[in-house]
Amino acid sequence: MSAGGDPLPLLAALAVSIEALVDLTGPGHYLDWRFIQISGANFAVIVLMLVVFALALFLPFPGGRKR
Amino acid sequence: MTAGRVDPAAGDWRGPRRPYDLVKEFIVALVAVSLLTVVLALLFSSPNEKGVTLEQWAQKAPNDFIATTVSELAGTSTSASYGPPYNHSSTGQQIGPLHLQKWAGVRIPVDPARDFVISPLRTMTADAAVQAAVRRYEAAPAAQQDQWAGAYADALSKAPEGDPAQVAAGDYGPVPAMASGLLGLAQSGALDSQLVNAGTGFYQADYTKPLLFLADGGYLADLAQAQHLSGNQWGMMNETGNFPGQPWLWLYTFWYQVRPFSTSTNADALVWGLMMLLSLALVLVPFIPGVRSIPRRLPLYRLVWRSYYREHGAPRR
Repeated sequence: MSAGGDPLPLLAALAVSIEALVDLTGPGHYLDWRFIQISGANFAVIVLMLVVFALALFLPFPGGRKR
Repeated sequence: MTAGRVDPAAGDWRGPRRPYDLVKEFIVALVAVSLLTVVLALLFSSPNEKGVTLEQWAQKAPNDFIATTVSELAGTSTSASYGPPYNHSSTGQQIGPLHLQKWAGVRIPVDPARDFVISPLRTMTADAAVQAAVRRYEAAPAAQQDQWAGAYADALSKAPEGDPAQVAAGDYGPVPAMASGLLGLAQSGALDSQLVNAGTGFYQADYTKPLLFLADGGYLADLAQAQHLSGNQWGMMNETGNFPGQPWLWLYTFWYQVRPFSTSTNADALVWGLMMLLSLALVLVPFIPGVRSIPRRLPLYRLVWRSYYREHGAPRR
């Protein structure tokens, strides 16, 4: 502890101030299709990965036209 | 290679070349991913579920705790009948004639009745009734101990909601007093620290015993079920709450959802064996006829290098 006071309340206040902006701690959302079950979050991640893959395929290389 | 056919992948590259700064790409990727990690952490934080304790279990589901305690004494719990690495009760998981679990041997000996119930009860030296019950139980022959515990387990399963207070009268010996004593010990929070292995040194971090005891009951399974973490819920790739989990484990957990794995008692060994075979096949892709030709037959590379192929046309075969 420094002479300037207890740092713990300051750290606690900082922790509260940088708390997650999007709260994901609630009950999970799941998609069901026959025996397939996938969480909404996992589905979103998989879709994002496919989007990134497609972008990597179709976007031109940066600076590619100069060559 | 057969005569008359030219393998485009063989030989030296004779086309155009261009400079490429790999170090620059590495640094740009590192900075971009680091920034993305910080931004996502600020946006979403991370899962922070509190650990489940024996105290919590005993307070919130006392009937389940009592039933599990009795199953430990009766030798019918999952831990008691698991086999290696904890005991010799069964041969465990196997693939055909390969007794994988048995070959691994008993490396972490656990006697559930003694470790989870009797030894902790012996520490309750101030409770004369519990000490008398333990002495009576230990003085009885093994057959009598099994008869008491089995009869009480049956009676609990028939009582409304498994409530010990509503169990039919019968000869259960000292078992009800022992189960009740352990419930009190757990509700006080003392059992949590007693089951953590004290032989691991100054920092006691071996949670094998409390975890096995917890997993023998229905309370932990209910919590897992509610969070979609059970094996039959693709739980391996899920995370608590709305957080993304481990989607890359989809194939591993997929097998647990379909027959014969979903109904097999050897599912762990069978799924592991299958995944090892598939992993081997992945490593050997360059040597598997047909599969190794997929990239050539599905010319995705022409999409990646489309500017080159626009100028030079399709590769010669």
